[in-house]
Amino acid sequence: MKSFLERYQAGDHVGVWDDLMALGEGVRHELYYADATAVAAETMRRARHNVELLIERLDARGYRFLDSVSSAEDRLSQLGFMEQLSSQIEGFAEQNGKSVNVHTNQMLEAMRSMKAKVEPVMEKVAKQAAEVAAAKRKPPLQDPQVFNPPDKTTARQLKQLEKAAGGPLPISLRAWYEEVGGVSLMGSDSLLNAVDFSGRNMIRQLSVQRPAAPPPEPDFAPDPLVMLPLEELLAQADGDEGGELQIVLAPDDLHKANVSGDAYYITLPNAHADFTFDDWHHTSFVNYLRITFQWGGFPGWERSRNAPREELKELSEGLLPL
Amino acid sequence: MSDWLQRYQAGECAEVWAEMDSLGVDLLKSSHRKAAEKVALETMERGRKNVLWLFDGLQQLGYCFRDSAEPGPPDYPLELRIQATLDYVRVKGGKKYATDPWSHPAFAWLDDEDIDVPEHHRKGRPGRSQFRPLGAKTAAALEGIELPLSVRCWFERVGSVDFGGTHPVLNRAGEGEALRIVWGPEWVGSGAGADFVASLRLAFQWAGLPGWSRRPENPEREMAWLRSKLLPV
Repeated sequence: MKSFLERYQAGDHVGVWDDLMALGEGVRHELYYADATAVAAETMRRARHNVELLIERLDARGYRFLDSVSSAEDRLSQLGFMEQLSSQIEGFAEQNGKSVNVHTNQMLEAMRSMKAKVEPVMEKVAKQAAEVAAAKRKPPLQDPQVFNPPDKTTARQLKQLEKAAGGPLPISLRAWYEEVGGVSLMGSDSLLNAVDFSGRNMIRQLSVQRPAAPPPEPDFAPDPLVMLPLEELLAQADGDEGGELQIVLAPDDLHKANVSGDAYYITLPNAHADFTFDDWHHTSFVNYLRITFQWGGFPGWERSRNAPREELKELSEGLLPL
Repeated sequence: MSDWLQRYQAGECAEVWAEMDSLGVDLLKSSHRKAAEKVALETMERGRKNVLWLFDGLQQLGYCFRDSAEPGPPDYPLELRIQATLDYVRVKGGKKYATDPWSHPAFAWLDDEDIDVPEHHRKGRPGRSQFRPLGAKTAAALEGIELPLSVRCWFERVGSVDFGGTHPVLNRAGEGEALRIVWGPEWVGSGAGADFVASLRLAFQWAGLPGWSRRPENPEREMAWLRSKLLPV
């Protein structure tokens, strides 16, 4: 009879992972463990290929990754925030034919005065930070805030995490950190992920142009692929030893969209081949990755009628099936 | 003939049962009765060990035991009792019972009252539907009827057994034939019951899943591992 790996390589991806899950904790039996880990490694090698390709493609289309440079640039952009906000408020009032009331006037005055005081300091600090970050700027694939692949410390860290959890990680998650590592496609792009981490979004929301924008879609966020680096998982487990452990694997879709949200969790230990990923799909982690790659790294678009299908198709084209 | 047991223990299992069977209904009336009973006892003791090993070994391989019978309507009072006990074990049981709350003494009432835990709580582990050793009810039933020696001895030493279930390699979708011996009136008969032992032999040869005997390809690794601890019957 064919091994799970042989079946997987022959294209029975979904069937093999279904079978591995059906084995329950039996997947760790000596008859299956090596075969199951080989399937997981093969799956995650494909995932890594896809992740790298997605990052390259996003970079090529000018996607503004939330990396160390963009964080500094965002701080710099906040300098003009108060001034822009003031003019927007005044403009809004004028367009609506209303005079600015005494409270608004007081707020505007306070904002101008505060800006005059902090501007020189903020400008200097933010400019320096942006310059330092820009000098160190690396391509996204080399920026650990975007892609943090495994290194020689990974095996030790995985052991520490399993010790803290009092048992094993699911085989799929272990393989993810052995083959892929930390990934964050968070960032901004006018079409793919119109999230603004600088606060400019707030100004746009106050714009008089707003009624012309498409109607808002409830509960929608592009939900870019994020898997926290292993160090951050370990930091959450700090102090725990041998007990059940609930840790965050990624921010949730709302949090990624820079609004108040929660996170996607996993409870450890978990001796199964795979686990239920805690997003709205409530599907297995491997299947979540399939969906994510199908949507070019932004599975949240699945819930939208206005998905930029052409762009997402370009991103997902040629990605390896898991 | 008095050396039946020695010959059985030396490996002539099928031959000894065939000889006993050849005596027909006279076996249990003859002077060979005691010798035959010793063989039956030895056979079913091995059968019991095999059954216990298969329940354990199949579970280790991730076999998911399922009831052969269709599930009935939910027993809400039982569900409430189970839930309350699970909650108690979760709060008071400590780490020791975190992974297996069912082994906590607070669940002793399940044994005391001979209650079969509903399948959705067992999560693939065998319950009373899969393995029911001799109880007072079956013992009373055995008293009043004539049974082949092997069958009587099986129910006295082992009990009702059902290996029905699912496994992605051993029993995909639960479609394969699995060993199922459940107490009922159809077992009435006489003589040694060598046929019954032969069917057990076949079932154990295929690790409780005799359906594999009719298929050209079989899961050799799993079968070899499971057979490694089975005793010949």
